[in-house]
Amino acid sequence: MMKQALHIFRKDLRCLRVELGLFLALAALFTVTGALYGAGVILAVGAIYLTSRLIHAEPIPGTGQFWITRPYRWQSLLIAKLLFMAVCIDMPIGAARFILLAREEYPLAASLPALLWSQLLLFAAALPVVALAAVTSGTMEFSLAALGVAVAYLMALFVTPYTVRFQLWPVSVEWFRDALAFSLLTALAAALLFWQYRERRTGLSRIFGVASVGGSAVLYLLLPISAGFVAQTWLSRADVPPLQVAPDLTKRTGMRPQTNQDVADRLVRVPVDLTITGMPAGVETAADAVSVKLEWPDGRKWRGSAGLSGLESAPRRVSVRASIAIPNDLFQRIREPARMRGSLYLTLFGDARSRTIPVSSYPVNALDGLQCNTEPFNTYFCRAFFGWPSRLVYAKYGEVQSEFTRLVSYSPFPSGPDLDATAARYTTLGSTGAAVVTIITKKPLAHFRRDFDFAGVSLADFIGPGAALPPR
Amino acid sequence: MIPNAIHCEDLSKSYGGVRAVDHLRLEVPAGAIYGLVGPNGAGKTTAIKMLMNIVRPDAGHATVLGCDSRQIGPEQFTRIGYVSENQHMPDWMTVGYLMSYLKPFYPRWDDARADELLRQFDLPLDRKLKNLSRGMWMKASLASSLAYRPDLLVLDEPFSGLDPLVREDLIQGILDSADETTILCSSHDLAEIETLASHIGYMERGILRFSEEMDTLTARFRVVEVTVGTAALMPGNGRWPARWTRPEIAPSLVRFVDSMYDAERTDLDIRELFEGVTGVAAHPMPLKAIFLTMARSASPKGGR
Repeated sequence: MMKQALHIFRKDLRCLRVELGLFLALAALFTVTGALYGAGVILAVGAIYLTSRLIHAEPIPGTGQFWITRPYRWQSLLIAKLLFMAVCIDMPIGAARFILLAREEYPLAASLPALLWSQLLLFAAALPVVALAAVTSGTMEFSLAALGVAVAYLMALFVTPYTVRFQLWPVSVEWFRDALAFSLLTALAAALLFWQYRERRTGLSRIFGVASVGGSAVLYLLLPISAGFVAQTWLSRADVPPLQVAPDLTKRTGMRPQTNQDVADRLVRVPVDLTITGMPAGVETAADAVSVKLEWPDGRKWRGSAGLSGLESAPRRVSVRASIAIPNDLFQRIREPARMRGSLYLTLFGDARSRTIPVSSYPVNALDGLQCNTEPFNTYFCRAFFGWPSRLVYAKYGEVQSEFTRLVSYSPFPSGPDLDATAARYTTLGSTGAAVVTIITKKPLAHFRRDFDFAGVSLADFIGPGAALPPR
Repeated sequence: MIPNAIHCEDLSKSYGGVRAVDHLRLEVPAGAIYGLVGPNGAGKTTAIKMLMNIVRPDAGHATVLGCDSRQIGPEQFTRIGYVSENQHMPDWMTVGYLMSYLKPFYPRWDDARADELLRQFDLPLDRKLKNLSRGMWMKASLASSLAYRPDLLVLDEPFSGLDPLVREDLIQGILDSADETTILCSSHDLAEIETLASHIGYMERGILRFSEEMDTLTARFRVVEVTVGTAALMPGNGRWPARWTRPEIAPSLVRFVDSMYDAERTDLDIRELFEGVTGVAAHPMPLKAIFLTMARSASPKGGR
C-alpha cells in the first residue's frame, strides 16, 4: 500500500510541479514579509488552490475518471494525497515560519514544540478543504462550492439572532469553544474523506459535508459560555483547599453603571459582590465567572450570569466585584429577602518564574516565548510569536511591578492553527532609570468552582442604604 | 464447459425514472470476442459501467472473472483492461510517462509487449496525451490496457469518430490480444464489430434483444427470393411463418428474410405456401442488414 502511495506521490510531484513552484515562491515571500501586506492570506489561498489541484488530479466524483478502472488502492491514493500535503504544503509553511522565528531572533529550540503543534493543527485545518475537494470534480466546481459555503455562512449570520451571533466568550475559555468546533469539523471532515475515498458516494458525502459544516457552526454559535467554564474546571486536576464564599456587604457602593445592552434590554444593574476566604498563600486569584440564581419566597425566580468588574486581594482572602442585570419589575423587590445561589469560577496563578533582561529598544528574549523591548513614551512592549502565553505577565522595573494584562487564555495548547498568531501587549514602566527589567510570569495552577447558597439576602444590602435608585 | 468471463442476471439501472438497463442477462464466454451493439442510448455504456463497478446497479447481479461486480477493485483491475471513449486520461502525461507510470500497478506488466504495442501503434513517447489526435489518444489508451496482458478487455465505443486507418490499427491490436484475452466491445458501428466479434448481443432501450455466436447468427439469417410462374399472392389465414419477415411482393417474385434459415425446411415451407414455384434462392446477409431486420421486427411498425 505504501509503495503505491509513494508512486502516486511522485506522480503528483511531477504533475503539479508548476503549481508547487508558485506555492514555494509564496512561502518564500512569506518569510520576507511575514503576515504583512496580505502575504499570509495569499499563502493560505495558494495552499487551498494547490490542495484542490492535488485532489482533482484523481477526482472522486464522476464515472469517467482514469484511475477508477486502474488498480489504485483507495488507501494508497488517500495516503499519497495526505503525504503530498504534509511534505509540499505543510512543511514549506513550517519552514517559512521557522525562518521567520530565526529572523526575529526568537529562541528556536524553545519555540519548536509550539511550531510543530501549530503545523499539526494547520494540517488538520486543511482536512475540510480536502473534503470539499473530494466531493467536487474540478477546480471550478470546488471554487463555486467554497463560494457557496461562504454565502451560506453569511446568510446564517444574517438569520442568527444578534445575541447569539455576538455571544462574546471570555478570552480565558474561548479556546474551549474554538477547540471543540475545530475538532468536530476536522473529525467529520476526516470521516467524510475516509468514506468518500472508500465508497465514492458523492451525493451522500455532500449531504454529510453540509450537515458537518452546519453542525459545527451551530455548536460554535450556540455552545453556552458556562460549558467552557465547566470544561475548564473539569480539566483541572489540582487539589484546591476548602474555601468559603460569602456575600461581601462591606463595599455597598451603590448601583453599577448600566451597559448599552442593559439600556437596550431595559435592565438595571445591581452589585452582588462576593468575598472568598481561606485562599492558599502565595497564589494570585482570578475570578472567571459567576452565575447567580435568585428565588423569592413567593416563587418568583431569576437566574443569569454576573458581570465581573474587579478583584481585590488581601492575605488569604479575595473580594470579587460582580453585578447582575435584572428587569425593572424585579428591581422593585430588591429589599425583599431572597435565596441567592450560584457558582463562582476561579483560577489560581502561581509558580512564578522570572528572567531579568536588559532594557532595550531592540526586542530581547525573556521567557515563555516572550520578546520585550521599550517603546517611546515609557511604554514597554512584549510580544509572542505563537500568541500571548497562558500566563499572567509582569514587568518589574526597579521596585515597580507593572502588569501586562489579566485577559489571558487558559488554553493548554502551546499554539493554534493561525499562520500569524503574533500577539503583543503593552505596559508602562516607571522612570527609575534602571538598566534591567525583570519579566515575571505566573502560570495557572488550578481552575475550580465554588458553589454558594445564601438564605435571606436582599439585593438592597449589596447596594447600600444611601444608594440612589434608578428611575422606574 | 467453458466458464463465462462475464455473467449477468437481471441487471437493471435507472436514471431519474428512465430505465437505462432493464433486466440484462448477458453471458460472455471466456475467450470470446463479444460485440455488444445497439443504437446510441441503448444502455450499452451503462451496462459496461455496472460490470466495471463504476456505477452501482439498482437490481440484479453480475460476476466478472468470477468476482461479484460490486466487489471489483484494484486486485481485479490488474487483470482487466478498460478503454472508453468517455474516459478522462491524465492528459498532462506523455505517452512514455503514462506507460512507465502504470507499470508498477500491474504485476503482469510485460515490457516487451508494451514496446511492441507502442511500435505497432506508432505512438510518439515524448508527446503529451493532450496533444495527441483522437485516434492516437485511443491507441495510447488501448496500449496502456494491453501491456499487462489482461484476462478481460472491455472496450466502450472504441471506434467512435475514428478514421478508417486508425480503426484498422486498433482492430489489429485487439485481435492480436484475442488469443489470451476475453474481449467485450460495445459499439453502434456494426461494420467494425462484424470484423471482430465471435459473439454478438444486441441491446435496444435497455433490453438485450438477443445474444448469440456470430456464426450461428449469420447462418440463420438469409434473404430468400422465391420465383413463381404466375403473379405471386401472399398466403393468408395466418399461414405466414413468424420467422419470415420483411416480405416484398413483386410480379412473379416474393422476397423475405428468414430468421431461422434451414435450406431444407425453408424450401419445404415455400413449396407448401406458394404455387408454381420455379426457383428459390437464399442469400447471406451482412450484419447490418440482419440488425435492421431485427430492429424493424421489434418495433411496433416493423415485421409483417
